[in-house]
Amino acid sequence: MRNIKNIQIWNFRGIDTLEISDCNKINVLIGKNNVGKSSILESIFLTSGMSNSELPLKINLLRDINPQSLSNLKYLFYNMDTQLHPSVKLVFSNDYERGLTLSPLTQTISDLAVSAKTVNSGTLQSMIGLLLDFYEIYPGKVREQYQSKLDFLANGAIVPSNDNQYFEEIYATYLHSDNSKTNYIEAVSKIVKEKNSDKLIALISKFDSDIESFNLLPDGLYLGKKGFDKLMLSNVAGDGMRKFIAIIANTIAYQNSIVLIDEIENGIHYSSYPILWETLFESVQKSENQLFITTHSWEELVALQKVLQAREEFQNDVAVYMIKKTALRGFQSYRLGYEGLRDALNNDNEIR
Amino acid sequence: MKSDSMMRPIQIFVEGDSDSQLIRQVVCHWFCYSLKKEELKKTDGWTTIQSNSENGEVIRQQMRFNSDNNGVNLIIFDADKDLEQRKLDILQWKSNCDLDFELFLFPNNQNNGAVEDLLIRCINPKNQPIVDCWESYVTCLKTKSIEGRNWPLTIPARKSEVYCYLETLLGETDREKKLIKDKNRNFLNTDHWDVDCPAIQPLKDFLQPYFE
Repeated sequence: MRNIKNIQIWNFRGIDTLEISDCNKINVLIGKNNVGKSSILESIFLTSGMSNSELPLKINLLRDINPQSLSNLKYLFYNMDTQLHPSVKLVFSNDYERGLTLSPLTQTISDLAVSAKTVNSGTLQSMIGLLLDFYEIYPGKVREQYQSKLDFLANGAIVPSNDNQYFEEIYATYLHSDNSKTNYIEAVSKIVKEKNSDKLIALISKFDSDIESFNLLPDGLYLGKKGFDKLMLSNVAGDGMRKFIAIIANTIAYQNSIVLIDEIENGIHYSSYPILWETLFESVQKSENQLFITTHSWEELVALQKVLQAREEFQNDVAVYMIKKTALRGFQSYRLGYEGLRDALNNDNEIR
Repeated sequence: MKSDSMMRPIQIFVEGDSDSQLIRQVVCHWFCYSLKKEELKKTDGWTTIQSNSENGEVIRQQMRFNSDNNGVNLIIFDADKDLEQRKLDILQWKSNCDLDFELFLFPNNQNNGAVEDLLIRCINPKNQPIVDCWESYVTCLKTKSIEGRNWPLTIPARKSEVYCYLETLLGETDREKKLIKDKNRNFLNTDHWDVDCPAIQPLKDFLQPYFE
C-alpha cells in the first residue's frame, strides 16, 4: 500500500505556499476559517485525478462557482492571478511522486485593434481554457510527463481533452461539507455488488439501531426501520444519517483509495462522534484507505482523543495538523500525533 | 499599559494551575494586561514533557507557530532540586528542537525550588506566624521516629505549606475551601499575599520587557 507522505502546494486558491509533512492513515486538518483547509482537500483531490481535465470545474462547482464561465477558472489561481500557476506535489510512502501544474491555455490574437496599448510584443495572449501539466516518478524510474487540457470554445462548448497515454491508478472521493452535495449512491452500489451489504448495515445500525436493512432501488437508497411497514427513502433521513452513510460507504467501498472529508462534524450529533471515529479507524486498518478530514469542532477532537485513548491500536494511525497563516512564514502546518493531541486537550490548549 | 495591537504575540508556558493563576493575576496587576487563554498555556511541567516519547510535541508546535508569527515564547517552570541542571536540560531541548524562547525558573531564576517557595516569600507579613508554625512543625517532624517506618519521616512539600497557609486564613464553608485550590487562588487578595514584595521582583523584571 502506498500512502501520501508529503504534500506541497503552491499558488492554489488562497494558499501561496504550504507543506504538509509526514502524513498518516487518518489526517485531521484543523484551523480557523479561511485558512485553506478545504483548499488542501481540493488540491489533493485534483492531484489524485490529475489527468482529468474536468476536475477543476467540478471543484469549482462544489463551491457554487459556475463552471460554464471561462473567467471563473481564475478562482483556482492564487490571488486570482493567472500568472501564478497552481501546483501540487504529492510524495508517497514508497517514494512514488506525482505533481500537477495548472496554467492558462492561451491563444495568440492579433493586437492590431489594441496596438496603442501594447509595447513591443505585437501580439496579445488571451485565455481560452486550462492546461494541466502533470508528471509521475516511480522509484528508480525516470520522470514521465503528461498534459491534459480544457478548452472553452467560442460557441460556449467546453471540450475536455485528457492525455490518453496516462492511466490513473488512484481513486479519490471528496465529501463536501454541504451534506446535500455528498454522494453515496455510487459507493453503496459498489458495496451491494460486492456482497458487503451486511457489513454496511452493521455499521449504520451503530449510528441508529432502528435501521435494520437498506435497499438500493432505481430511484435511490431506501432504509428499512424497525416498526415501519414501508421502506424510507434515505434522502428523507436526517442530515446526520445521510452524512454518516456517505462517510462510511465511501470509506468501506473502495480499497487503497483516498477519502477527503470536509467538515466531518456537519449534521452529526456530538454523541455519535466516537462511533464515527471508531468506524473510520477500523475501516482504514482493513481497507488501507487514507483519509484527510477537516474539522472546527472541539467536541470532535475530544471524541477523537477518547477513542484513541481507549483503542491503543489506533494511536499510531493519526496525525493532526494545525493549519495557520503566520506573519513571517505565510501558511504553515504544525503536526501533532496522538500524544500531542492528548496533551493539548488535557491542558485545554486551543489548537483549532 | 500595553494595548493588544502594539504587542508582539506572546505565549507563556507554565506547569500547572497554580502558576497559571499566579502569572495571569500578576501580569494584570503589574502591567494592566489581561492574558488571553491562548497566551497562557499549561504544560504539566518539564518532567512530563521529557517523559513523552513525542517530547513535548504540542508545546514545540505552538512555539514554532508563535515564532513564525513574530511572537515571543516564555517558559516559566520550577527549578526543582537543581536549577543549573534544569536550565541546561531545557536549553539543550531548545537547541535540539530549534526553538526560540526565554526561560525563567521559579522561585527567582537563581535558586533551587518551585513556585511554592516563591509564594511563601510573598505572604502578607502579618501572617508570618502561620508560616513560623509550619516551620516549627517541620523541624519537630524531623526529630520524630515511628516504629515500623523509615527515619526520617517524609517532610510535607511546600505545596502542603501553601495549602495549609490558605486553609488557616480562609473559613470552613465549601465556598471558602474551594478558594484554596490552585486554580481558584486569588493572589491579589492583599490580606493573604503581597505581589509587590522584593521576593517576586525577579519575575516582574523577567516579564516586564514583553508588556512594555
